[in-house]
Amino acid sequence: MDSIQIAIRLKTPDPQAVTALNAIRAMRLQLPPLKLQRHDLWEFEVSSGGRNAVSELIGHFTDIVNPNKQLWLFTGKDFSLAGEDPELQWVGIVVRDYVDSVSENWTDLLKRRGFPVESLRYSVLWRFGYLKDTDEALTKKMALDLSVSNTRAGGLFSNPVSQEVSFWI
Amino acid sequence: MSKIPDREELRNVISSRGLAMTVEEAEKLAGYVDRMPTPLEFHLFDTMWSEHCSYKSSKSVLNTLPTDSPGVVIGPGEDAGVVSFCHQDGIEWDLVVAHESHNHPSQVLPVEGAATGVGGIVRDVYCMGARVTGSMDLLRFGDPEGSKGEATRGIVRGVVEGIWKYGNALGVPNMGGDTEFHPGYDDNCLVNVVAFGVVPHDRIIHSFVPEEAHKEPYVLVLTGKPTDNTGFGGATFASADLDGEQGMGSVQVADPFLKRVLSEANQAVLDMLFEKGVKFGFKDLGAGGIACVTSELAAHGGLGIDVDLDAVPVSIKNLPPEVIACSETQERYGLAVPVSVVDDILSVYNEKFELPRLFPNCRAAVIGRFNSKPVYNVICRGENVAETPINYITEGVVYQREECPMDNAAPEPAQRPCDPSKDLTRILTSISGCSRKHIWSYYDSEVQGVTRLRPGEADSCVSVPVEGSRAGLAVSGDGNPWYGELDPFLGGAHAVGEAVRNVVATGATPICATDCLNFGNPEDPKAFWQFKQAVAGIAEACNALGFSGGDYPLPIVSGNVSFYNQSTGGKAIPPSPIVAVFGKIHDHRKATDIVLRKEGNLVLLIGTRKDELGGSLFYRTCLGHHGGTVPTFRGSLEKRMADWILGVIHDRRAYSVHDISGGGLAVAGAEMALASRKLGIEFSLDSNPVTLFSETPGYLVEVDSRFVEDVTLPEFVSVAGKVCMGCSVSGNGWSVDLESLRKEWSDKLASVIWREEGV
Amino acid sequence: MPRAAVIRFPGSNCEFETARVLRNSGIDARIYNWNDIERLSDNRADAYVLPGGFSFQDRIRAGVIAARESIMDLVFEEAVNGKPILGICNGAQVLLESGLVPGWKPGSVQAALAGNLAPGRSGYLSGWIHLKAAPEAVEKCPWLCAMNEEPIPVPIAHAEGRFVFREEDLDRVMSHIGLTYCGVDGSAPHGWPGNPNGSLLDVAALMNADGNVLAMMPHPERSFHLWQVPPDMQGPWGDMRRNSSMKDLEDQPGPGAIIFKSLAKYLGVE
Repeated sequence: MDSIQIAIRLKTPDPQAVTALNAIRAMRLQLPPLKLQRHDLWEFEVSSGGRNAVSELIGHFTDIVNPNKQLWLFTGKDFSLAGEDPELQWVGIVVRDYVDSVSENWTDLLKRRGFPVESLRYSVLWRFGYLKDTDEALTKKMALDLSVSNTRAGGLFSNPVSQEVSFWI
Repeated sequence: MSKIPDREELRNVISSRGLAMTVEEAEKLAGYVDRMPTPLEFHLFDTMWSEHCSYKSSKSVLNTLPTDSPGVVIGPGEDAGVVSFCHQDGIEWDLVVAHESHNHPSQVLPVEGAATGVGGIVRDVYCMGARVTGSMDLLRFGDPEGSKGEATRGIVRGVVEGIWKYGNALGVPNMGGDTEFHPGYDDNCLVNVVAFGVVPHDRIIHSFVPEEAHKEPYVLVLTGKPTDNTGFGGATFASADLDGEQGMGSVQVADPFLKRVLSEANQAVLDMLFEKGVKFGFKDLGAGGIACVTSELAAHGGLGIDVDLDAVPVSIKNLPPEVIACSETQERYGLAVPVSVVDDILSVYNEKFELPRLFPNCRAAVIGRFNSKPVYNVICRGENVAETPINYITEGVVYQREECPMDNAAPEPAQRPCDPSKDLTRILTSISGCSRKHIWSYYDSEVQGVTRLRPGEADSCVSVPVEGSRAGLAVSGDGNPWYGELDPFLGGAHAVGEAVRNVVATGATPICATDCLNFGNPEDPKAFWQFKQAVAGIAEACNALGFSGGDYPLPIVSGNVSFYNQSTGGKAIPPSPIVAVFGKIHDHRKATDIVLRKEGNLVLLIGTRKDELGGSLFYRTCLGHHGGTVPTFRGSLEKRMADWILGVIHDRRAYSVHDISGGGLAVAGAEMALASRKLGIEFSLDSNPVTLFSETPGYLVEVDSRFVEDVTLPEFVSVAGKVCMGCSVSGNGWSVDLESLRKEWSDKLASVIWREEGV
Repeated sequence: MPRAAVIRFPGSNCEFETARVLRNSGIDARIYNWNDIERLSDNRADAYVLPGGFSFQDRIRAGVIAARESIMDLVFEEAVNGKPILGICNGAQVLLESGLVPGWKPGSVQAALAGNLAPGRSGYLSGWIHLKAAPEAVEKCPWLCAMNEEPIPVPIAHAEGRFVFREEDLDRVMSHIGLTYCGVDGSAPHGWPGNPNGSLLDVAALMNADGNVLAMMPHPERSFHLWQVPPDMQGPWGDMRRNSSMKDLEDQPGPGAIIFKSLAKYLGVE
């Protein structure tokens, strides 16, 4: 059983990220991230075929990745994106619902269609770009604070009652 | 600027810039400006002379459509058509309607294509000054179970998602529409969108600079999303690699959130301008972007304009002038207003509604000045980037295309075995015959609180759009690809006929219609012949189905032509004339639905059944046969049937009404029973395929048993059966328990398309 | 005449009909923009409604950005003062994300409205469901005080409507339940489609402890008139609708009117 993760992003500016960055700026943090990226993450548990199996199935469903508007890649240590500002360091936070229909329905559908997928999980990856010389531990803390909505004035990106967050890689 | 270029130079520009214009058109343009046209001029004229904007192939044919009727305020020509609707509290209210296609973008990017389709059509209605009170989607997809089923299913899911994600957020109730599947759309789906709204008659806004601009200084205010490179840079399409991450110029990105706020801000601005008694012009930005909106506002008002591209708010730096001017960035409007009110306008957009906070660099700005010199003049970074006599821009081009009749003779099946129970079950559980409820369940049909009948409850949706008034508005859109394929003339005529019946069945009198004509390549004489045939069919039906008295037709007040709908191999879609009909019911409380009411009531059949099952659900689903004689269009009979139905509903004698179309009488009866859940129909008719499944136009009407004693039935009305307890339909020797079918009937679409079961 | 403020955020889309039904219920309702803070602050209302829609397009998740708007400070203050506050659909999402509901610790986010869970589908769902009021809520909630035990049909239209609570809070949530989804006869819905989104405890509307703040996912303003009820509706409301006379269709209130009637009763409207 292989666990294969892909990240998908829009080729155009993502309006969700635009609005989120606006909301962050309104919070008047001492050290706000300078950039924000949003990706869909899909994590497949495949019984055979590894990355090839995932590439193959993605080609079948334009609603997972539509190459006319989205870019995707396998995540891993080599994860990087063209055009990233070298002056920034990035912290990634993964937000995932404890239960969600998208994951459940796609798992069922892919199994039904005979793809070697045991299960999949859908989640969202938010990547915060901080100035390169910021202390790494501090950026992680700031990103985490920003990611959990414990209070109305607090973090933005997850509701702790229905969602879990984790650092990405 | 340079000398007049030769053909070779022009050909090079056309190919290097990816323009659609012909060399002859480029020569014409060079002649107009008497030099090598600028890039901006090339792109501007390329858009203005496109099929989409100029109707260059279709204009001569469209002129044959009836457009005149006493209620028509504005016929085809502006962004939307306008007809008078009702009087309330001393205000004369008009209905504004628009109809368009967004086919090609939806095939490539289903979510965004459908979303921007809704967005564009809604803008067309807004910019007449109207409050938009409804939208409708007429969808044609390939066969979800066919050879290209996988792609088709993804497109269906995406289109529905685009419609709900965009339309629901706009706060415009979705009034349904229809969905058909036909393998001829495997490579080219159709997403036709309709929007409508209401406006007080004296507050209709025109899309040109008003006469007052000849006397006092007027400027052009651009408001909305900052301009980007939408529509330019398609080269990166279809590339899945990670290079060139910003190269997405071809995609129109819809932003319903911005649109919603912008609509409210527009409303506030328009209210203010009316209050001040200021005359102004207003137009949405679509194809051709700033270049089209500025030149059209000026030209149609008999003025020239100086446009300053440096004043345009942009989201990408250093865009070339032709991109700023011709980009198709969504969610933008242009206003032609006197200088004296500019500060107030900017303050509503930029301060009260805080546009700059909602999207970076989103705001209203003055970008041009109207003047009496009839020249379209554009400045960018201190340079003149266009200088054209303005009347040329809107003059357009016209072509006379060749036509060649196609052979559409298609045989009847050799045999017609019929087992009514089995056949009816098969139809109701087929992709073509099953419920569309799953699609509607994604749509918000009730926002605004004016919805009287939702999709599926009656033959058309009904709303009560004018506050305080009882006037109901019924809308339906139709077009049967299977008829169009066999006989494009009848495809056009029945598209009108069915939409009229659907409106009439709720008790509404048709007041106007719109059309969207979807065809293949007009340069192909066969496709052009199909187009002409369909238009002739629409014209014949509209001429027969006028309800304004005298010889007045049902007027076509707005519409759109979409050519080049074909597969990559060049195979055209089935001829697809799609028509929307709008009806008025004076008192919405009389609106009638399809829900059976009372055991023992009689069910009347309006419209004698004929042996004309060509293209029918029965032939296709039960016999696997694609041919035969399409129902004749009998205009005067359709009219008499409609008048009779309207009379019965007006007298409050109809308990429920359903039109007979796809699937014939048996399916119509079954749908009434399914909607009423606890009641059914026992038909007392012959059990042959013609009676049960012929799609000869007609209606089923539920009346009480005294009705036939009180009323002399015209020759086209007969008693077909009676209402019985239990959700079933039955006839001589057959019976179908619909309750046991309900799950499959209502779940079929979700099962095949959303869950991909059994594919 | 008592006054209600309908507060719209960028992207709200039910503000007009919400104000209209309040007015029809004898309450002077006015719409305030998210940045009309001063105007509203100088001219406090007797009740506040956050209408449905898609504030900030539900970006990140529904309600979270609107919850941070400055005008919510004022709503917060009025909530603590005991004024009746209703959030409908997106308004409910804003109230949860503001920590006003359930509000054990006002300002802390202690419940969620997560994405709908339904078999074989995700995203938006519209349709009519049945609701019934919790007896305790009728006692203390100004938005429910005119209700009885009869179920009422009301439409829903949302993509994120699933009430979720922490396991350890399930007991204390009970006393905050305002409305639950139910069958046409008032029985438990036993999952989809009676419970249309997978809400825990079948919750459709949740209150704060005092009951003055109600976060409600269904849309009572769309079921205000009898003529708005679908003709194929089951149960007594459906029968009433199908058998209605012209006069009934003119005058008869719909099932959702009771929410606004409750407020009118609470505010002493004749």
